[in-house]
Amino acid sequence: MSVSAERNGGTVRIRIGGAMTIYDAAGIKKNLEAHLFSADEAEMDLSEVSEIDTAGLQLLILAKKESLNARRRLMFIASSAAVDGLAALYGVKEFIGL
Amino acid sequence: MLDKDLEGVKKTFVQESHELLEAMEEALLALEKDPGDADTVNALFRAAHTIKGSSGVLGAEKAEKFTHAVENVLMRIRDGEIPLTDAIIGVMLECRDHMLSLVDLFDEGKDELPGSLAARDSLLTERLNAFLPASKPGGEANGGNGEAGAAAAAGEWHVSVRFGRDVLRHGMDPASFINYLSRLGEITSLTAVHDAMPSFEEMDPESCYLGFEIRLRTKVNQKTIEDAFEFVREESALAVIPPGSGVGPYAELIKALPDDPEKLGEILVSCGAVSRKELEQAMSARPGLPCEAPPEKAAFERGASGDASNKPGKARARESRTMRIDADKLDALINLVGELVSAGANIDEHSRRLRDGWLLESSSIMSRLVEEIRESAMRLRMAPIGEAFNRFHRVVRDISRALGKDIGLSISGGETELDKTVIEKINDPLMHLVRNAIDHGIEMPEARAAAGKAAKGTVRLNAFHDAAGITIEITDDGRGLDRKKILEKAARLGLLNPGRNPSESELLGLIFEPGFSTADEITKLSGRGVGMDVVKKNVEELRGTIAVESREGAGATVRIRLPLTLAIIDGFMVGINSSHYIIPLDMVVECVELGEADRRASDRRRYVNLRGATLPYVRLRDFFNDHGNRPPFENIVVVDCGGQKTGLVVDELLGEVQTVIKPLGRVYSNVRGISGATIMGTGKVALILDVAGLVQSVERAGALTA
Amino acid sequence: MAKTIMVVDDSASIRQVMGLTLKKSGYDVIEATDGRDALSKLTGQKINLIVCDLNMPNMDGITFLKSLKSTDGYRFTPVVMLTTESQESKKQEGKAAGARAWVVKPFKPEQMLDAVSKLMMP
Repeated sequence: MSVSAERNGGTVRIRIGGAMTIYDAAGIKKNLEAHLFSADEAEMDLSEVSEIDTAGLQLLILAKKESLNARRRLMFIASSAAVDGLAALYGVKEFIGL
Repeated sequence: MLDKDLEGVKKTFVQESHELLEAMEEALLALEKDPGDADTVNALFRAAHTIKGSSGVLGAEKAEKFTHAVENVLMRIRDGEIPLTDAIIGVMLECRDHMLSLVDLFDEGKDELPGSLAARDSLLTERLNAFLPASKPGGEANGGNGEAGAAAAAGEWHVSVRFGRDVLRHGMDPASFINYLSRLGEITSLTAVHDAMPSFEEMDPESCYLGFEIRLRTKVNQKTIEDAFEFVREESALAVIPPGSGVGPYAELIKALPDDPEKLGEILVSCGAVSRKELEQAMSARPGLPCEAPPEKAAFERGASGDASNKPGKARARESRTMRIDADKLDALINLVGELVSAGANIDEHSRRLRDGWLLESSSIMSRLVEEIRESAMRLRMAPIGEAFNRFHRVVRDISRALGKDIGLSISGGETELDKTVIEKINDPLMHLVRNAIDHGIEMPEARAAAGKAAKGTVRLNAFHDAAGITIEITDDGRGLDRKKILEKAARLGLLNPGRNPSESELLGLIFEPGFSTADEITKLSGRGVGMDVVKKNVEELRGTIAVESREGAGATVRIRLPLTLAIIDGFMVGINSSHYIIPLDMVVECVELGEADRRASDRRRYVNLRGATLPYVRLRDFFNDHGNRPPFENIVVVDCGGQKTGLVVDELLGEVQTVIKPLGRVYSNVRGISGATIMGTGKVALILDVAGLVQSVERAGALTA
Repeated sequence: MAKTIMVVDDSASIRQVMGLTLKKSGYDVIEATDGRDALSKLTGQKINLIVCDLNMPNMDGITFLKSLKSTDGYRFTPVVMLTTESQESKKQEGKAAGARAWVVKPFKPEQMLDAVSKLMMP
């Protein structure tokens, strides 16, 4: 698992790579908490996510819900086959905005 | 497992068992000296346990069954329930030898015990059982999920699950259960519920906050579906609702789950588990479910654009909520009910004659029940037209966009019920009319603005019951029909005598003539050879009528009137000779006696003077070619059909009846003036008059003689 | 990539049957003879699921499960416990240790595959 955040003006781009499983969930969540609202808008790039399970997907749902509640923009700009597959199984692609 | 593989495993098993049996023997001998050695007792038990387990896996049934009994006794010894005596050790040693024989027998590939071994097997089993509590018979191999259950047809089950907080911690991933479920059948709809997820600070990334509402089309039984969740069942909330369960269990579900009842209700409705109406009724204690389906929730059958890809599941789920029944089967049922009514009437008559109080009472109870059955059988065919309307949200959106127009759809009267088969058949005509309205009726936004109208046009679908039928209106606020063009075209097609000035309704009615199209160019959307004449034909096949009304520059309304081929209506019964006819009560204005003067004149003219106004009439006796003797008195029933009053001359006025319309058989389905039949309480048949049809034919006759 | 399943059972024949069954279904299989052996074989490789007997010498299934829960990288591995009907009290103990998936011995190979497919995505 790797998380990086890059600020560009009013937008923060969060890149998650590698595994997004329950083993990584606590670490990813900390990173999300730190970066999600660190700029006016957030973008998430998941193109490098190689593996994801329910714990990982829950964090994406969480991020989306928090952003909606805070009325902040969160854009998923890139996804990977693993993320798409699980989100499709759960029928949450539309909700998350993948 | 292939035989070759099995041979290898078998060798391992036999070898392993020999080792274990050796160990058992050593342990038993050691225990003879020191019966209190718990470790040795444990080792002894484990050896037997392992042999039982592996013989079960390999299918060494005899060894497994016998060893199971041995294991049970050893377990009691290990748990201190019975003391380890020399006698038991002696029996155990014999058992151990017997196990060796059984394993060797399996090794040789023999399934049956030879006589001597069989005798020893039962003897030793008996001796072992003596050490066990009576209620615990040994060696019941539990096959688990082998039993198939009654082979059920594939139905749509509802699976509602809220996973326990700790499932992820225990290594269980809900995704794998969902995936497993998808292998039991076809998941037609799945909605994730994440209402339970708390805020950032409170959310534990290793906890599970998810739940799902799933529609699963499968042939497997309830247990198999529940067993998909067996490993998480204790800590999760699971409800598996069989197909066709009605709304009850869903209402329970909503009450039982902590989720927002409104949201959950919405999910259940949109996945097709229940209809909004059912749910509202069931949850009437909880008001607040929104009534109008939001347009994006509507089910679309034929979406034109690409984003339809995520809809089919939902659409399919919605369809299957209603059961498709062959209309013939339903007709057969209704016919049988008709027979039942006749039979009941006979019994009633006989019981009256017998004057047996008990019989009279029973008969009247039965009559009431038969009546209820008849009514509910009739209702089986009725469905709200709303679903047919709702699909037009998409049609209007897609087509108007394609044309660069801005058009909204407004729906009213969606709850109006009519015969399901009529709904199905009216779909195509409706589609054509809606497309026409969008394509030809409503102008481009600029043209609308130039005409001082709102840039956004509106197409309106409306339905309501009137008299004995249902009226469906398709209204647009576009430019209306162009009379000049219609006149020109009609003249060109030779539909009008030159120089004749047709009435408004006559002129507009021309658009339903074959080959008539005023559009200068046939566009991609409407046009295409299917003209209004086809729409008219379709409507007439349903024994309905179609008319158009135009307001120049302000729009047009197409009005389709359809009979409820099967409905319970209030009727007014009249008699002609010995035949009975029913006139839909809503259409009856008044009844007057046909005066002597008018009677005499009636052979020459077809109208009477009613309080100073001219009332055209039709003598039903003549209309139906009933040549019996004319009675001394006749009556006129004045009916109002679409604002036009007409008189129907009948012999007798028999009063109001509540009646059901029974479809006419194929032979009679083209008889003018009759829309259906009904079976009266006496078992006799009465014909229901198609007043609109009658009035039309009177008009036509008038036009001919004029 | 094939998923890896670890089979922990003191019975060589059970290990063999399960190994064959699981391999045939496309899984990689690691065998261990008891809990202690199993722990020693958890050396950082990915293990997607563990099938573990309850009653074993050296280290029984429950002790192994407890150790597993505190082993980095394996804490959340799904574990199928093999048990017999006669081990109800052990089952309670196992539950306390976090065991949720149970397969009752004797079982048919298909039953094992069924349990595995409930716990693991293909």
